[in-house]
Parts: sequence; C-alpha cells; structure tokens
Amino acid sequence: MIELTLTLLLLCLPGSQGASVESNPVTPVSIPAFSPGPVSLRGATDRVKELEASYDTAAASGNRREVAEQFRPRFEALASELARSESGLSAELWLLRNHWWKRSEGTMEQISIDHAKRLIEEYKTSTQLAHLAEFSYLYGRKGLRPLMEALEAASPHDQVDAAALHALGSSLRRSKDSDEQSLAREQLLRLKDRYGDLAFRDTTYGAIASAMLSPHSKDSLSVGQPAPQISGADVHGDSFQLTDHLGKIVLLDFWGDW
Amino acid sequence: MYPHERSLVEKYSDHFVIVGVNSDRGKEKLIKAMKRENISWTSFYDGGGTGGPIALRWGVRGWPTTYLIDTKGMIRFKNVRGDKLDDALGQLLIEIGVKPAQVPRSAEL
Repeated sequence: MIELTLTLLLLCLPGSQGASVESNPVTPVSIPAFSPGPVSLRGATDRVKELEASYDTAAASGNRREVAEQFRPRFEALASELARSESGLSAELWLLRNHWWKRSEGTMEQISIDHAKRLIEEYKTSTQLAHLAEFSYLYGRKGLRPLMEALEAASPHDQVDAAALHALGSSLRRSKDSDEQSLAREQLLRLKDRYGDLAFRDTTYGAIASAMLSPHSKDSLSVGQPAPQISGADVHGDSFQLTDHLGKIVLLDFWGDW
Repeated sequence: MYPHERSLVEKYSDHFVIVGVNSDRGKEKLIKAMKRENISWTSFYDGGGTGGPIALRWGVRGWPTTYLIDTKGMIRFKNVRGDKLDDALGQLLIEIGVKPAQVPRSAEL
C-alpha cells in the first residue's frame, strides 16, 4: 500500500498540474498587482506556460528526472528575469516542486524549506502561494509546520490560509503524538468553520475537513460490517447513493487513471 | 483490470454492479479515461484528487482499493482481484441462488 502511494506520488506530483490555480474558486480572489520588473512583462505568463508545456511533452517520453534537470536552468532564467511578477512566481513554483528529484540525495527537505521561505517573503501577497501547501511532501514532517504557520501569518488571502491549514491538519492528524493530534483537530475545525465554503479542487474545504474530522472507524469498514453509506454525484453532477444498489452485489472500486 | 471487470459486469448484470469512486485530477481526465477504457459503470466523482471527501472518510490511501458488498449491503471481501475476485463473486452469486455451474471460477478450482 505504501509502495503504491509512493509510486503514485512519483507519477503524479512532480507533473504538469502544479501551476494551475485552484479551479472554480467560490469567492473570486483578485490577484494583486506586483510592480513590474525592469523588463516588459507582456507575454510573460505565456512564456512560463510554454516552457511548462514543452517540459511536460519532453518528460512524457523521457526520464522525468533527467528532463527536469535539463529544463531547470531555463526555469531559473525565467524566474529571475520575471522576478516579483506572478509569472516569475509560476516559474519559481515549477522549480520548487522539482526539488523532488533531490530526494535520493537527502537534500530535498532543506532546499525546499529554504526556497519556500524565500517565496513567502518575496511573494506574500500572491494567491499562488497556496501551492506551497500542496507540495507538503517536500518539506518533511518537521519542516511542514513552521512553514505553514509562516505562510498563514504572511498571507492576507483566505484561499492561502485555508490551504496552509489543510496541509497542516491533514499531516498532523496522522501523528502518533496526542498533542499534535489535538492540534490537527483544532486546525481542521477552524478550516471547516472559517473557510468551509471555499473551493478546493472540485470540492470544498468544508467537505474535506468534515471527512477528516469524522472518518469511518477501521472496525466499521471490516468484513462482516454493513458498508457505510456514500452519497455523492457522478462526473456529470447526477446524484446517487451506494444504497441505490441494494439487492445487487456491488464491487466498490476506488480508482483513478494514472 | 478494466477488461476483466467489464466482462464480469456484462456477464452478471442481473446481479452485479460496479460502483466506482474516482480520484482523478479533474473531470476531463475522468471522462477521457472512461471513453478510452470503455467503462460503462458509474463512479462517484470524489472532488478531483486523491484527498477527496469519500476517500478520506473511508481511509483510502492506496489505489485501487476495492470492497465487495453483498446484496444486503454487507462488506464481504476487501481488495480481491483477478481470480480471487472471480471466486468471491461466485460465492456471493451462489448465496443468492445462482447455479454453481453458472458462476465465475478461478482456474485452480
């Protein structure tokens, strides 16, 4: 199981999706203007996007790690040329999530923490900083908490605060330390109460926090127990329930195409 | 995995359904996968990622994770695939009166 999850991380996380900002925010968030750098920023977003697209194409048919290393200098150049703009931050976020490849050298966590700290200082008013919370696997167990607390303190945006609470709550809830567990509970309650209506991917922080606050017990998911109800909707938005199929044998299949 | 599941659903459609909980990142990705793999069964769309509300509530951290649930809604098997899924489904079909000769069986039996 752990191996599967790790494989999943390898396959999915350093991929192409990190730069897309949360889709369908419930509350429209205005992106604050940065003072433009010395160069004209016209087309800057396109340049970072183009580079990301060519990386994705190259990575799809090659060794992701090697391809990422080949692309690194080009992202670094864009990040520095476009510094203090949203596009510059997009390039920085690509660089940040591609520290993943330093994992085997044992330097990933420190490099990622230092990088993320710098981004919090330099880009504190950007909503894109919410992505720092998505890359929680980069910072290690000990690194995550101070970083997320710094992020929440620095950012004026609900969307970013919610992302930080979410990352911290989901990590600490698995801790063996009971203090950390109760801290996670507090954070998830705060996430639900204050930011419950905010969108997270195609759901809300409220739905996520509620699920983490009251998961089904291991016993209730054992063979011989009644399957807990599931109410939800399919990809077209049509609602249904697991119990709609009572009377038939059901293979409940948690799956994804990756 | 899909072709095997699909053949079971087709063969035993009177008594057996698959209900998916999909954790793909984005609806487009799921729609594409369903078309490509010719997936006919319904899935809950779980919020667009592996940390969705249903997977979190069910404590799912590895994919695929499966539960085989009988006609009364009881959990009867977990994570059975391939031959083992055939046997498990066969057992549950026999329980509801399907003739043993007509249920799926793994090669070893």
